[in-house]
Amino acid sequence: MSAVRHAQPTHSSTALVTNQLGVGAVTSKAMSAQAPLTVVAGLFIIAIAVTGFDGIPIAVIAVTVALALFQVGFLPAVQKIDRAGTFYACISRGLSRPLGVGAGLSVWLGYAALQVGLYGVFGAVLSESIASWFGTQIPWWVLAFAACGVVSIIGLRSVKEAGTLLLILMGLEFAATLVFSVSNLIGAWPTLTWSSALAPLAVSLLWQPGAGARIAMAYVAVVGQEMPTAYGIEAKPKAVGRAVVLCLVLTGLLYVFATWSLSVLLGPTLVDRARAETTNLFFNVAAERLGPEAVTAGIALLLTSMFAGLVAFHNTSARQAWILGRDGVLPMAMTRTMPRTGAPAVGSVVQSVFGIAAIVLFAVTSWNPLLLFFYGGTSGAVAILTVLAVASLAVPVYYQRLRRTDGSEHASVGVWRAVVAPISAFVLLLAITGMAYGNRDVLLGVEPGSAMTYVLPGTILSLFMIGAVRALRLRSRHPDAYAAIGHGGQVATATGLGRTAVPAQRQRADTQAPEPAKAAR
Amino acid sequence: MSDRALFARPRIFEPMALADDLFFMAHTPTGAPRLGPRCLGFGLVGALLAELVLVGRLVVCEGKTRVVDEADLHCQKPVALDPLSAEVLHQLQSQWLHRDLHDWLAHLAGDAEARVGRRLAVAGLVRRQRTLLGAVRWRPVDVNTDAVAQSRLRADVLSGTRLSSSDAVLAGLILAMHLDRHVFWGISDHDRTYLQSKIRALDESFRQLISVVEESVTGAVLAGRT
Repeated sequence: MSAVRHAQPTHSSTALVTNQLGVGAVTSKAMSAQAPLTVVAGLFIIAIAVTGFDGIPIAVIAVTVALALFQVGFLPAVQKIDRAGTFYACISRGLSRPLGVGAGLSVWLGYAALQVGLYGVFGAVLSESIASWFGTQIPWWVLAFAACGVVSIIGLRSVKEAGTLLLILMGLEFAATLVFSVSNLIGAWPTLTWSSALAPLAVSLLWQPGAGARIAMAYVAVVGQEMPTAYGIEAKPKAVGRAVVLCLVLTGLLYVFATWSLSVLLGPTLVDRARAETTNLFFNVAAERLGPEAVTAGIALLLTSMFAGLVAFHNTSARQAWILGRDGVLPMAMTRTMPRTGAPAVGSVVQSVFGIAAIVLFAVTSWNPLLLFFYGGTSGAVAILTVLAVASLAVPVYYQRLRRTDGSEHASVGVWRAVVAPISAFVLLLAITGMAYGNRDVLLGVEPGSAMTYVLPGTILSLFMIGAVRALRLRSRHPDAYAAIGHGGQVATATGLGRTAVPAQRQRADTQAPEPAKAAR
Repeated sequence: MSDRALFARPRIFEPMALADDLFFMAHTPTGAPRLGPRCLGFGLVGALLAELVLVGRLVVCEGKTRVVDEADLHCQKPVALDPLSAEVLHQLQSQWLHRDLHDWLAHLAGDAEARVGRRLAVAGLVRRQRTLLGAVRWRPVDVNTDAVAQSRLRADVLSGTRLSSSDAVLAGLILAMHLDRHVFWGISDHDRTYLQSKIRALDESFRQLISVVEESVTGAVLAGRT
């Protein structure tokens, strides 16, 4: 064994500049996908209008608590499994690879559907706004096509300036939501009593009839809060954990505050006004105190908010496809990136094709573009949330397996993170996902029993089945690629490394390591 | 001129240093990169560190780097390092408190292309140029240079008989950087399996280097900062 002598440390040895992302960068990158104004002014108001019940604030709190509990166990697990933070790696390693591959496909197409759905509402709102501002009628699909073109270019070229711009817009949007909500609160202040203030936060609202739809809507609205984990490799240590907490707390508080201030201000009239004014309600109410400019500013920010969502989900979908290509689940071509920018080229083009196909379909059949939003957005969100529920089961199973092979690893996490939090998260997420499926007619905006209510669960089920078939074919034809699933890349598995190096290999490394390599050049 | 004589690298028909070979394969014959700068940097740093492992001066164990002192190389004569390798080794030595390989890749990736480019320029293999937009390009002096490295590796993999460990490391880095489309195009499943078995048979230090490069590349693509 050769001894190792070290040089004296220099002054610079205290910090190694690694150009990695800090907490702020991860949080803001992840949150730009959330489009808070779209959620508050769009989704929540629609939820109130459709379900006819107030009580979104408590539903958001319930969902946020479930997601926070999920992250308690998921985060340390996924950092051991694959620091890229994919659900499908976690499911592959915790439960089984065939299930994991199905989850990977569902997440990819889930994000794809969400993004495509946003084109519908973006086109519709923009077309309406142009008509009211300039008096020119432009069909929604022309605008949606234009948006699709710009998003595709940004996606392929991964324009840095676009990222900065979206970040600034997201900040403005966040601030605007806050200002509008504060003005609502000021409006409600003279008549505010303890009982009226606490009414929208009553826990009993969670058990009322119709509550399922409301919770499911809140669940659909918070899709995107799982995003910080995708920055695991590029982020500084601990940055992802803090970003997850920040993301949950910031958006959770904003959503609760915005919906709560609206319902204390409007009281029982909220449901009727939500039905009458839909996406304009949030701005109209604010305009009563802030002047008519608030409506214009609000709608302009709503548009940029949706555009930011379009770009973010486009990139997410392209990168999910890239990961699946890397692991051999989708064709290798998916890993093709743009030279220079390094953006996943094929994944990005595929997403653009999805967008164009959907816009053409809805334009040719003259269906309401908002239906595209309902179908795409809901199907996507439900697919992702289904995977989330499965992943929450994979976490405790994974820890159980770890304990069987290596007791010390389990002990380092603790019973709370390994057992209690993940299992309670699983129970909660299972219940909420069940509510989402049970109320899918409400979420999709269709009549109960119509064809679409069967298409949605059917599609998700068939994705899982296709994934399972694909995984089993990989197992028989490319056992190496099959073994690589969930281990963070083909080469990583070929080399048997990972965050999960087998103890036997470690021992060998210890005895072998100081020996200099023999290959003389 | 004296500089060039002092630092001259072996002629192109002999295997060059790992990072030099990888540099040529990661660029087009006109010197344009085939990858984003960050991913390219990760791969080149991986190759530079692998060069140090090859001469026995560096060991990677459980994701941590460990510099081996010259005096401890009792089983073989210390190999004289070229200036760039010596510089990288010095960096690792002087900041020995930092041992995480992942951090080192992220730290060194920023200027890896320029450093390897300069080494090649001193050896007279590339010329530094600026594009119309002001970006720096390292244009091969002889268009055949990059083709030589690439075809040698391809031939070795396809013939399936001899693949030195330095070539297996190179191939591993190429797979990790997803450059295989450019280098191993049209390769059969059988040859790919052979290649993977060769990579799997490498020393632990190399395997860890390759996987951490792959992980870093994945991270860069996912975070959109390639």
